[in-house]
Amino acid sequence: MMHQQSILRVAAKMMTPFILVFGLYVIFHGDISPGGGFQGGVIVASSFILYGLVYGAAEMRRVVPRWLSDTLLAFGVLVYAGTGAFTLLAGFRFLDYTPLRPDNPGTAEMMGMTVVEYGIGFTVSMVMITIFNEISEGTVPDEESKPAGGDAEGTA
Amino acid sequence: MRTGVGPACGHPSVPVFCTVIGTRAASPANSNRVSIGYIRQDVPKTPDAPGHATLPAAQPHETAPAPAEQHTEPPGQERAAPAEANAASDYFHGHVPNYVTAVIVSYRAFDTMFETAVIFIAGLAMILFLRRRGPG
Repeated sequence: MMHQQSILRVAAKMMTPFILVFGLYVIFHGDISPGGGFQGGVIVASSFILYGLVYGAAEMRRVVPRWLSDTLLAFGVLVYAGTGAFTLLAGFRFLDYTPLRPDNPGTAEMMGMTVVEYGIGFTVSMVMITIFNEISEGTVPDEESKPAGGDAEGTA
Repeated sequence: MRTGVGPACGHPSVPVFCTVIGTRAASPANSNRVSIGYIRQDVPKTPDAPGHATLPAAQPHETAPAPAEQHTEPPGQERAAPAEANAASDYFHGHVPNYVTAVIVSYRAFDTMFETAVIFIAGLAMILFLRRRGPG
């Protein structure tokens, strides 16, 4: 179905890297400008979702395999909670970022917030990709429009 | 006068934070003794030390009302004073310059952690209930 619409394919392939870079910018710049992990994660996921809408579900599962999205989805929460556990084990309060750099807690707070934002970004982007993958299963046509719908793909 | 209230607390955009974090000895000069939101317990607490650190040196009780007048000045001068006095006061008293992110990820970090956990559970529910088992 979708393999005939060359305008969509070319436009999606052109826009995907720019959306991805903008989403990463929103995540990385979240501590000094508006933005953060939630917003940037959704923008990053939207680039993958655009790619998956145009190129098919099997192609999207090739780009972001299910094991990868499942792992990063849990990894983001683990980064966040692990930062809190590290600060707790270092003798400070939970998510008090001072032990990341004890001589300068202002810089330590910025470092800790950046790490935490990365964790949020991982979780949010991969959850959005997972929601798109699982809800749209069978409705987004595959690239070769196989009737079985991606039997060539590996299992999750 | 209240200790721990820096010159940027006269700025109109930060009144909420100054009332919330007013108990914190929060000036950029002594920010390395201070953790988020509170005075740490291992710091020897002298009650006037944070206020004196932000003020000019050598101030007996006669010069003490002078900074108190600064907070009652008209808003035009009040906005100009922190900008020329110390640009570091824009850093939210030692926090990162983005106030919203400082509140979300630092001041309410525990809240944001479980917000992330809520999104994680949403994705987990997708995996558990909607994922087709087996190939495809």
